[in-house]
Amino acid sequence: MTNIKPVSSDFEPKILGFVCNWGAYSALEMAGVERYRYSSGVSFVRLMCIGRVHPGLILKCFELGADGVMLLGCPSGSCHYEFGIDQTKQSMESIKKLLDILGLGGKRLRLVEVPAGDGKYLAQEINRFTRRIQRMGANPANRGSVQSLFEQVPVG
Amino acid sequence: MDEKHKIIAETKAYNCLDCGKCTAVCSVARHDSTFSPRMLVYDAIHDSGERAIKDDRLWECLTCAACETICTSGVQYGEFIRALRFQASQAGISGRCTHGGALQSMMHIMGADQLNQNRLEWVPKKVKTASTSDTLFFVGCAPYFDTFFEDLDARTLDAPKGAIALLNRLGITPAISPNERCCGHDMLNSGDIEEFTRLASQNIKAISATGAKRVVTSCPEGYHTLKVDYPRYMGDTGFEVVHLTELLAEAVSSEQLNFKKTSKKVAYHDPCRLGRISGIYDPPRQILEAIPGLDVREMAHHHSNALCCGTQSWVNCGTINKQMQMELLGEAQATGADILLTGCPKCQIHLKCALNDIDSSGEIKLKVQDFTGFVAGALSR
Repeated sequence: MTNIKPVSSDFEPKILGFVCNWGAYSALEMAGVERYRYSSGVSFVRLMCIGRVHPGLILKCFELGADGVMLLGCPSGSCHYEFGIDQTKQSMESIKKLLDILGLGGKRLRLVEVPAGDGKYLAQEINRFTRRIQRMGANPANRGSVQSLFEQVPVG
Repeated sequence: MDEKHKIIAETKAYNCLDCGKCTAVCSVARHDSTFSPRMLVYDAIHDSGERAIKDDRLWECLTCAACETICTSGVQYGEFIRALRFQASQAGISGRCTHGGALQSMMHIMGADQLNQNRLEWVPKKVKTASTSDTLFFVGCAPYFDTFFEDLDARTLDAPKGAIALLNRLGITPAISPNERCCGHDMLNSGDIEEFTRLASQNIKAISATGAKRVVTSCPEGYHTLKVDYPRYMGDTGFEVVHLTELLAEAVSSEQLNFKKTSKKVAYHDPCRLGRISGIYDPPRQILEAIPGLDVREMAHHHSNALCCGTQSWVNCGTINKQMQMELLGEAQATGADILLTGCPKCQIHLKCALNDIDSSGEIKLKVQDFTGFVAGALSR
């Protein structure tokens, strides 16, 4: 049982995690089954493939005030739909640059290739990312709508 | 519908005689026979319900002003569309956002007050800029577009880079603000007046922080929005707005600018927001004429008849728009030019997208290039 303490408990980041139905979701399930603890500020949106996530979707999350966005998918080469993850990995670079220009910071977006069923790795990555977002601070574009957004999205 | 009839009255849509001249010149109607400016006016006037604001065609209009330019009854069609779109957005109706809503999200993010942007990374080392000056160069969306449309080789930063070099050559060291936002043109055009005023007030604050009393820009949409819409919606802005080509044309006639000789063949495209909407047709041509050896070709449709490139405010982009782009490119190609020059970043992005998208191998050989970048590149040492 791993219990990773956050850097500070003053700021609880609101993080949205897109989870692919295959590798990443199985890892999320295993994290739960094997009791690996991860930050409770993360809300998950389950999709069939990370390849479904396009720049507009990511920017919308930040527009609505998310402090961080994680894309959790299958490792390159193991994508259930062959090229989904590779497609998104490519478009990520320009979105990160855009986030840098906008002053939000490209580091608020992270893509993690999760080996199927590896709950421990997933939990560690979520917690690492949460600590990074805590260091970065709240999303400067947050106009207060994030509270209601996250209240509606079921956790886990 | 009181609001709707107020809009019809204020924009003089009641003056419509149903003559159909608008439809004859309409950029959209050329390719989509189901679209007609006067039908939209007719429906708005005669329908007692909300059909006008629920109409999909409301979002297909490009507000290119071709109809307004020819209307003999003085109908302010652009205003009519904008006002109806505002009513529609109040009712929760909007156009179909393109690119997954990415551009709209970007603009909403920019609306935040406390934003520490990194907008100045692109400024070349060899140009001179200042943090305070009586002249500010308004960069606009160029940095965002340049990154977002990298795969189209949009190179929208060629314009501000070239503009600053040109201003320096005229002895002007412009201020560039790190706190600029998008000018808000697309928000206003889509009926989101609230977001527009938010962006506008932040830009006005950013500009006044530099002490600038004169704002120069190369972007046609930015120019018109800052010059006309800002004072209209925000009151006195504290600065005057000049288009870069106006300054350069003056400099050219007083022989302040010298260019290298070239044998290139170019065609010039009049952007809607610069040409028909702002009335700036000749200054860009005067500048091109001053480049020795440059073969400047005129397209079959030019000046107030210029074809629209099919750009919308990142809504409702489809086959019709692609057809418009192909028609424009075809016309440019037919002049025999190697390069199509235009001063509008939106035109460039959309024309380059069409070049990429459709297999026009053998058909369209010319390149699309930014006007300001081209002129700056032609400067002699």
